[in-house]
Amino acid sequence: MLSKEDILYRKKLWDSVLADVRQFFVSRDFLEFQTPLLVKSPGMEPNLSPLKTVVNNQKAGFITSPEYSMKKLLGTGFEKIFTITPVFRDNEAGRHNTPEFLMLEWYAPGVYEDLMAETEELLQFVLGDRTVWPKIKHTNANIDEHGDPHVEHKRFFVKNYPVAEASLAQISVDGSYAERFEAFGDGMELCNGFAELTDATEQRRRFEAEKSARLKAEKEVFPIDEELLSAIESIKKPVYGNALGLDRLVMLKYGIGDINDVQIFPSNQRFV
Amino acid sequence: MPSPNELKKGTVIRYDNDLWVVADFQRVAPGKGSSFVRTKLKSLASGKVVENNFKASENLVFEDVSRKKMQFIFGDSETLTFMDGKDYEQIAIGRDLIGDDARFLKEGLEVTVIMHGDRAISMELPGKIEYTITESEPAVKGDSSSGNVQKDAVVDNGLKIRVPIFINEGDLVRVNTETGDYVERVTK
Repeated sequence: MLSKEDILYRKKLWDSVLADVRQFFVSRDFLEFQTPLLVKSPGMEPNLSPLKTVVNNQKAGFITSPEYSMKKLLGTGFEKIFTITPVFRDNEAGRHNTPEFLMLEWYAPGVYEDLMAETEELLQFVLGDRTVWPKIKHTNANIDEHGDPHVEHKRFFVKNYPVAEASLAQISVDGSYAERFEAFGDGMELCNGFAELTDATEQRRRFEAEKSARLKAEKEVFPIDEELLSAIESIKKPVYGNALGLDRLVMLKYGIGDINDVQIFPSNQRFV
Repeated sequence: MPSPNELKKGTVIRYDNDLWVVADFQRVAPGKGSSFVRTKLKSLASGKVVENNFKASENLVFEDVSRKKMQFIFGDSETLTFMDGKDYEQIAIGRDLIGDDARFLKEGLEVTVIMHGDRAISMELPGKIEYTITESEPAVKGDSSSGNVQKDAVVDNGLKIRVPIFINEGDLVRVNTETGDYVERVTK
């Protein structure tokens, strides 16, 4: 364990970021929710490995993101919501990845451009730095085969993802790109934002495609979340959402390069 | 055949018709893609440095290398010299082979020297090294209330780091050699 003084130091780094994040959203009339960590249908993304478990003799998993629960809240009529929650991903390790980390997710009515502007304002507020983040199109960002951009800036957005990488984002009106963007800082992916897909039929089609991709990769397949699909059907206005890794935001704010050097219970000491 | 997941600093691989020593590596398991190892490779023949990403599923050919514990004794503008504590044998390694890691060296530090045959080709640092703080401003009252939680400091080998404001001159601190960042104060 770290000493009490070092724990207090790391706690101050976290407290400052968490207080700023809450102040930012509360002042914009967002409601904060806690969402379930244990679910029957964790993320379906082909490349994620949810942690599996059994609850009351039923197959279950730990969330890889709070997205499904947040969208169910949107389906009941809530409009501006955010959550700060632990999320879990198996087989993730390195200086920027750990199996358990804290995620911020927020949703609000609005379009793609509104989300990018709001994300930039949040980053400027938390980092205490008004510098504008350049917005670079995916096609100009020299994306390598691992999805990492190579540009001259240290902090920037990559926008307008290829349709094939739409994930849960809607497609632009002219059909040429997905309304998805990511922010990068000091070589880390900070967030993944979408103008959300609100077409339940298309969403089911993408879930089925992800299910086959998971089967093909011999990964665990979880049932499609029917409650989520019917929630998506009742979202009538354009809505955007963003998921941001808070450990990385703490690292970026304080210039710390290893995620284990900001966590109070470092993952690399818990799981060697 | 070994997988890229087994690469370390100082591993020598046969690749692209050349022998390469791994100068730096990072295992990356991104949420959105298959895992891979990002490497900086230095050619043993030409000294040329290239960056290469290996998919975790690839197969690699490793060359045999040996490792021995040695102490850093001194450096000049071209080379860094290490000594075997048992037989007092000294070995010099070019700064170009060690690169940025040289900033962490201090007299007497035990490191692992990587040998290919009888040629010293690289050095591995401990993951964390302890240093004494030699220069640092005392904390100013009100620092923490104004949101300042870090300050600049210099350690006994000249390395500059950011430390929490509770750290004082004379304190022993642990530094992460992958990032050069402060980790914690060592309690004596």
